[in-house]
Amino acid sequence: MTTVAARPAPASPTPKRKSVVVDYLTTTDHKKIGVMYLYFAFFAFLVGGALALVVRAQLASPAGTIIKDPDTYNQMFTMHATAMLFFFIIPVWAGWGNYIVPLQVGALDMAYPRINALSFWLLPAGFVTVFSGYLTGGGPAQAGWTEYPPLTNARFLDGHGTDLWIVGLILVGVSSTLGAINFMVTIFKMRAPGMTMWRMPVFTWNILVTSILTLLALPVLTSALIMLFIDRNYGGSFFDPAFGGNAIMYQNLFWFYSHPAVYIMILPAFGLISEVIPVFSRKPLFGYKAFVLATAAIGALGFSVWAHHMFATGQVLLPFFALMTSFIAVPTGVKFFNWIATLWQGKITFESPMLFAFGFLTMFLIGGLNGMFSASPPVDYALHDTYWIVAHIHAVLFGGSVFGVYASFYFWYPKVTGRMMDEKLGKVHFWLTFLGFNIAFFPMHHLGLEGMPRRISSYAANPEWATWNKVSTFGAFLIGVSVFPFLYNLWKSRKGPIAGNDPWNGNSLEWWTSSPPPVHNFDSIPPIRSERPVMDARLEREAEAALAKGASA
Amino acid sequence: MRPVGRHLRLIAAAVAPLLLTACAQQPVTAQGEKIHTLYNIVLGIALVVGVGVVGMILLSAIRYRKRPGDDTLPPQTHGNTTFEIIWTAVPTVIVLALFAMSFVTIRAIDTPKDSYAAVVEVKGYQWSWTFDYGTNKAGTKVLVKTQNNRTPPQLVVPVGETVHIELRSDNVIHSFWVPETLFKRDVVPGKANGFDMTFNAPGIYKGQCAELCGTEHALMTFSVKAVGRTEFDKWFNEFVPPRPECKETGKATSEVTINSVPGASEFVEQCVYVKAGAPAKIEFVNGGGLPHNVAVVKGSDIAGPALARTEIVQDKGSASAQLPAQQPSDDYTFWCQVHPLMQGRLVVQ
Repeated sequence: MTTVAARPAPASPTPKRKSVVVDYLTTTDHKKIGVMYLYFAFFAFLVGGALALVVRAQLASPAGTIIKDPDTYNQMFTMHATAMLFFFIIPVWAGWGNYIVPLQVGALDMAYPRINALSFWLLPAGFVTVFSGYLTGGGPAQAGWTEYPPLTNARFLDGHGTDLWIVGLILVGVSSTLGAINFMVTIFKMRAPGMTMWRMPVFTWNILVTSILTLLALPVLTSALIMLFIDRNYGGSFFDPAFGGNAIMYQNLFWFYSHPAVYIMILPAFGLISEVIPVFSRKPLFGYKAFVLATAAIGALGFSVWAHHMFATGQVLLPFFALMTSFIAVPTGVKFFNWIATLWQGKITFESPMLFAFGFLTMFLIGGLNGMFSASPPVDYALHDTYWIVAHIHAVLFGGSVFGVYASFYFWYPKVTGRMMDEKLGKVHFWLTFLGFNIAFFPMHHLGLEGMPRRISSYAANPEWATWNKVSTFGAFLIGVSVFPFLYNLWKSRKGPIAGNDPWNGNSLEWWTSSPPPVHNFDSIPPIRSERPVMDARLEREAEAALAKGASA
Repeated sequence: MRPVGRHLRLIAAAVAPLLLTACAQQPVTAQGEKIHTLYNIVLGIALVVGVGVVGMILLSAIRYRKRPGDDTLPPQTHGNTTFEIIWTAVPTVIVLALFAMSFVTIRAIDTPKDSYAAVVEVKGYQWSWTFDYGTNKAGTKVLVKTQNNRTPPQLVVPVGETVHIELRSDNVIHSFWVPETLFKRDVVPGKANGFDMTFNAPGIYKGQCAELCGTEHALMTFSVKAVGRTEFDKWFNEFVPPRPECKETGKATSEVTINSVPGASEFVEQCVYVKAGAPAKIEFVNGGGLPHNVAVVKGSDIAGPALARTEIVQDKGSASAQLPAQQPSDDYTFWCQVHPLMQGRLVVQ
C-alpha cells in the first residue's frame, strides 16, 4: 500500500509563471474553475441579500415609504429571487461539484475541461445580461422570478428588462446543461480503479442525480423562455389568450423545470450534509444504499409534481399532483431517519461544519413539514401566494440550501486553501444566522395565515400586520449582519493554522491528497474497497501501527 | 435522563407561544370550515412529526456528544434493512391517509350544485374588480364596480345560501381571495374558472388580489358583505348603478367632447365639466361599431325631459347639440338613448 506524507502546496501551479488574473482567466483546472464559481456565487448572494434587505425595509411599515414606485419594488423582489436562485444557489453547488467531484471519484480533472471553463464564463455573462435591465428605461424584469404571462406580454410590460432577463436566463441554462453533461461523463467514465458506483461518496451521487435532473428538465424551461421572447418581440401568441394562446401552458412548462430545480438546489446540500454528519459523528452513513435510492426517488418523483405550484389556477388535475407531491415526503423522511440513525450512538463533535449541519437538519425540517400543508390542494387554497409560501421557500432554500452552503464552506475551506477556519468566528456566524433565520422567516407563516399576500409593496389597509413584519425585518438585518463574521473569517483564515491533508478524519478521496491538491490532484490513490477509502486506509494504518507495537513489545 | 427532560420543557415553553401563531383564521364559509378541519389535521401530524424528529436530533446531539479524552471509534453500524422498511412504510401510510382526506375535501368543496342563490361574474382587471349579478326585476343591470379605482368594490351575498362565483379576465392573471374563507382561485384569461361560497354569518370581509398583476397589485382590494336574505333581495332589486364621482374643479369649458369606446356600449368619459350661466356645445364622437347618441337630463332619472340631445350616429362619426345655460350643479346625467345603461355624469361649475 502506498501512503503519502503531507505534501506542501506546489510553489507554482504552472511551470511558467503567469499573473494570477491571466491564470484564472485562461484556466481549465476544475479546482480553479470551482473557486471562481464560489467567488461568483457568493458575490450574487451578497447582491441578492442587499436587495432582500431593501424589500424588508419597505415592508417594515404598512405604507411602505422606502420605495415610492411599486414598479421599483416589483423589480427588487424579482431581482432578489433571480440573483439567489439562478446566480447563487445553483452555481454555488456547481462550484463545489467542480472542485470536489473529480477529487471524490479520484479523477485528475473534469471530463471536458474547456467546456467546463465555458460553463463558468457563461454565468457572469448571464448575470450582466439580466442586471443590465437596470440600465434600460423601463428597468429590469419586474413580474416576479416566475415571469408569468400575460403580465409579461409586451402589451402589459414593455421595456427591455424582461427581454434581457429571458436572454440572461437562457445563457445560465446553457451553462447548467453543459455542466450537467460534464458531471455525468466525469462520474460515469473517470472514476478511479475500484470506485464502483456503490462506493461513490454521497455528495457525488447527489451531484449525479442533480445533473440528470438538469439535463432532462432544463430544455423545457429554455423552450418556454424562447416562446415568451417570441411572444414579446415577434408577434407570437403562444401564451396570450387574446390571440388564441394559453397562459397556463407557460406555467406548466416553467414549473416542469423549476420544481425539479428546487431539488437541483437542495439535493447537493443533502449530499454535503451526508458527508459532514458521518465525519463528525465518527460513523459511516447509516443506510448508504437506502440514502442513494431515496435521492434517486426524489429525482424521479420530482418530474411528476410540478403542478402543485398551480393548484389555485383551477386548471390542474388535483388528485394526481397532490398524491405525487405527498409521496416526496417518503424519500425525504428516509433521509432524515438515516441522518438521525447516523448521529445515534456516534461520538459527535461540534465544529462549524457540524453546527451548520444541525442547523440544516432542524431548519430544513420546517421546510419539509410546511411543504406537507401546501401538498394538500384545499389547504393550499388558503396558503398559496401568501407570506406563508414565502416562509416555506425560505425554510427550504435558506434553512436547507444556505445552511448546507455554509457547512460546505467550513468543511472544504481547509482542502481548498490548506488552512483551517477560525472556530470561534464560525460559532458566532452560526448563531447569528440561526437566530436571524428564525426571526426573519418564522413570523411569515403567521402573516400568511392572517391574509398577507406575497409581492405587495404596501399594506396600508391592514396595519395589524406591521408588528410581525417589523420582527421579520429585524431578523433579515440580523442575517445581513451574520455575513460579516463569515467574510472576515474567510479573509483572516488565509493565514490560519495549517490544515494538512485530512483535518477532519474524513472518509472520501479528497482527504487523501494534499491541501490544496496538486494540479493533477493525486500523486497516489489508496485501494478503494468501500465508500470510505480514506477511513479504511486510516484504520489499516492504525492496525499496522498497533501490530508493530505489539511485535516490538 | 433528567437534563434532557429539562431541555425539553424549556423548548416546549419557547415553542408554545409560536404554536398560537400557527392556527389558521376562523373560517367564515361552509367550504372554509372543511379546509380549516383539514388544516388542523395536517398541523397535528406536522407537530407530532416535527417535535419527534427535532427531539431525536437534539437527543442524539446531547446524548452522543464526544466526551473529552474518549478517542475510541463508536460502533460502525452501516445500516439496518428492517429499519429502512419501517421508516419507508410508516410515512407512506401517513401520506396516503392525508391524501385520502385531501381528496374527500376537494370533492366536498369543488362539486357544483344544481341551483344557486346568486351567480356572480367576477371580472379582474388592472387594478380592480367588477361584480356582475345580471339583471334584477326592475330591469336594472346589477353591476358593482369601483369609482375611479379608489374605493374598493363590494360584493354583496346572502348569508347561509350558496353563491356561485364565475371568474373572468381579459387581461392578466389575478387571484380572487377572501382570507377568512381560506380559499382563493386564480382569475385566468382565456379560462373559465368558478367556485362556490356559502357564508355562515353576516359581516364584512376583506378581499384582495393574490396573484402579482402589475404596478398597483397591492391596492387591488375588495370586500364581501354577507347579509340576510331580505336585505340581499332589497339590495338586489333596488340596485342603483353607482354614479361616478366627479370632483375635479377648474376643468369646466363651454365646449365639451364626449367619445364612445369603439365597439362597446360605453363612454370614454365618465365625467364632463361645463361652465355655468352660458350655453355650451356638446360634441359627441362615436368611436365606431355601434349606433350611439348623447342626451342630457337633470338629475339621475333618464326618463326626465332631455335638456339637449344629439342625432344618433350610426357608426364612426360625430354630432353635436346645444345645452342651454344652466345653474351650477353636479347633478346632471348624459346617456345614450340607444343604450340606456350607457351613462356618464355632467357637472356644471
